[in-house]
Amino acid sequence: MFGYVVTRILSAVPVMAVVATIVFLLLHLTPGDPATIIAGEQATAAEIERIRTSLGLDRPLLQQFVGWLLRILSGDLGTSIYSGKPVTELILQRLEPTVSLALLTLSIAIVIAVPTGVIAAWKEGTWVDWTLMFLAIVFFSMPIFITGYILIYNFSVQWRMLPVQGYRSLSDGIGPFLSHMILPAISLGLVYASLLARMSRSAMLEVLHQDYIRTARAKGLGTSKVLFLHALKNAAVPIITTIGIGLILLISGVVVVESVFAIPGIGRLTVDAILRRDYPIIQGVILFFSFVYVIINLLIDLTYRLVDPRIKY
Amino acid sequence: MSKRLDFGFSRRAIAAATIGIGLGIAGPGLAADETTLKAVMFTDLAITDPTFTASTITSNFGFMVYDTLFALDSKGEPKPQMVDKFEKSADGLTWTFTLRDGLKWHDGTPVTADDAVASIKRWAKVDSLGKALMGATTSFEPVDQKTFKLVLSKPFPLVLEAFAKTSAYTPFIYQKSFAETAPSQAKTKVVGSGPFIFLDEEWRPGNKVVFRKNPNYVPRSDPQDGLAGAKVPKVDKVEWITISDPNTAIAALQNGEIHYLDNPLMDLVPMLEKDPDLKVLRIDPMGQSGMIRPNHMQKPFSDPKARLGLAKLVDQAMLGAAGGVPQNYFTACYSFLGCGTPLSTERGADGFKKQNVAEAKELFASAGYKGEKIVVLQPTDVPVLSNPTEALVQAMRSAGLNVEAQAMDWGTLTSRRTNKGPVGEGGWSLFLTTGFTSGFGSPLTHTYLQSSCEVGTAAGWPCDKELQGIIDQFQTAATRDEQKQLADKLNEVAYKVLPYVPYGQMPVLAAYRNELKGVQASGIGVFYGISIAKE
Repeated sequence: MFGYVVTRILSAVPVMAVVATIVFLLLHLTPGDPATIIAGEQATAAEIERIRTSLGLDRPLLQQFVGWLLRILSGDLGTSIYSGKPVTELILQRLEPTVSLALLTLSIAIVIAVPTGVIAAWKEGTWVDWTLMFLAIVFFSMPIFITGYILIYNFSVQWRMLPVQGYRSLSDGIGPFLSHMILPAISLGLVYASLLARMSRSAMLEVLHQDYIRTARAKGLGTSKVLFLHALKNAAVPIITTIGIGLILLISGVVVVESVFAIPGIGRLTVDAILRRDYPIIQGVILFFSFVYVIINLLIDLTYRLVDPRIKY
Repeated sequence: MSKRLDFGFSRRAIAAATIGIGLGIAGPGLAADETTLKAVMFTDLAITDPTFTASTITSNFGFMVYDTLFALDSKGEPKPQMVDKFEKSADGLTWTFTLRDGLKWHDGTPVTADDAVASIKRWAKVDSLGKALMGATTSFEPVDQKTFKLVLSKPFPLVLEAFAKTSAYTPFIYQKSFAETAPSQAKTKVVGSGPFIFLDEEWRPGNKVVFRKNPNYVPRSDPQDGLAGAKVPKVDKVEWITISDPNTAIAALQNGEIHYLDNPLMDLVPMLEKDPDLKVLRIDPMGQSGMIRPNHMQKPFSDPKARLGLAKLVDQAMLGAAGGVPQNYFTACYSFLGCGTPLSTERGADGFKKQNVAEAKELFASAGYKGEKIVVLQPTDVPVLSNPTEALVQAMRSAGLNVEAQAMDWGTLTSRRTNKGPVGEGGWSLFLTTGFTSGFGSPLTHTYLQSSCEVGTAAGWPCDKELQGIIDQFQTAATRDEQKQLADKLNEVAYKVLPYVPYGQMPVLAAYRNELKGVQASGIGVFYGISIAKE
């Protein structure tokens, strides 16, 4: 088991090397130039050139790439072209809000989706099933920013119950933390919960028609025990897979939610960096995300073993 | 078998839990510390060196932490700011300036004439007006701790205007050690002498910028007037919070989470004006001017007739409306020197005040246009430019032009427009942009007017010796009458050359909560002189 984990983590290195190369080339071949953005709207060609030279962007691409790789190998992701702050520091500053948002969203989604999927499967073909799945389609189809605006308008502007924007750390207290995170987490969570609910329903339907479920019912077990102890556990593997994939998809959703609710997370950092062509930040964040993806996939694989002891590594 | 699930939660328990959560997390409001002013600016601060970048937000940052030798009052006249007194020799060639008493850097050391001279020299390496000033300068040196002298080789009537320049690049005064760095090297250590101190350790790029009141700042004795006069910080802290979504920013202002919103979304301004808790102020009444910039190096707009045809297609009011600017905030403006500026004139614009598609068609035909592709760059991430671009494209198509609007983000556009090649090789035909009207007041500082035929001009590269000759004459035009005569001539020639086509003017607004007192139309969102009334 330990050997398996180490091998998987080491396998991240070539993955990240390929990602690093592709990202570097794509970024530098994409139109857009930080020098023109820094120089400002009314800059002349001479001023743009002056800045390009000072940033080292006039050097040959290969020279820039080798320099960047050498820095990465020494653990240095570089500094922002604009603020001059280290990329590692910027990512670490933004990590907590994004991780908090992702975990709260995940919790909300699981709490909503799994029971919804179970109930829909249990009530298969009835109005309950149809209603729940209809709602799942509606929430899945609704753009996250629309949900966000609706929640802000009602809970913040109209009823003045919750703040519109910003982030408060958990260390400031559970109240301030939740008051700032609940609306973003619901906005994002509804999409994710819809996906998860549909997947849970499908997985449950397969299991509910198995003989051992009929046996469990025949021996007089209560409905909730049959559903949650027998059926759900056996339907867990595809649900966990969906949770894992959803967590990866969630990172892209985080970008939108962080913009709408002005949460200073990694998603915003990435978008701002892309719009400004702040190459070191974009490269650093994508490398970081590729590592996160590898780790999430590893955790999913390890979780399979917890719910299905037949799986061995 | 029963199909009813019983999870053991009563409706009453759920209701109680809901209310409990509600009580625990409600009450957003502003922090108890009422001397922290929270503002959302029009964009996020990325660079702190105002001589490294011409970015407007960096210039705004400069007005918080640095100071200038002179500053413009509300009438646009330069007034002494760091300077206590100055003398001009009878021939106008020797200027002697003396700094005010008590000026100190944020680290406690005194501001000296050495600092001022080194800062102006750094600024003059990048700024067009600064370069012109230094071109007319024989020597510029400190005399003693507080005095410095400027000796000119020829009369330069815009010395004070140059030192009071507000549009980028602004001549802020830095510590000598900072100012001796080449302007191509961005400095990140900020030690100013202005009314607020930048707290670098609290700066979170993309999230917030924090300033603390400078307790040692010695303001002028004359009252605040525009950017001139006393700069008295009246709050303990100012926080610039980044909210990139303009709708969220407005909701945050309405909800009382921020006090001040710079440049709110124009089409939502009527809604803000109806909110009894808010005020909307024209912080810069002259605001921004719209410009349609054709590429003078490539067909069809290398031909002046095609540019005239383009100008005939422009309906300024329609483009303003497309940009979401409410009618009462939009000014159709036919002056290349901006409307509301001292030299504003509409000479030569008579034939361009009404859209005339038929005439435009004729002009394009006489320019030899035969349906070649015209590439319009459309920055979809900047709605105030993207939507008017869409409207202009429709107008051009109505004249039978073969127009391709290419959607891209602003970052791509700024890079793409540096391509001087034909459209088949990644080139372009036109794009829309805006500029601060205050910078248009003098032709010498108006980048998009420059038509010098040199490599260094801004993208679009107009080339007209007559127009450039008139612009250059402003360096020596000593009296206002002389300048006005030149301005008339300039506008007339500009409407023949059309370095760009003007498409109207809109103010820069600020929306703020009623508890803010002392907000002034200073032209730039500065936060000295503003206090927060206790409710």
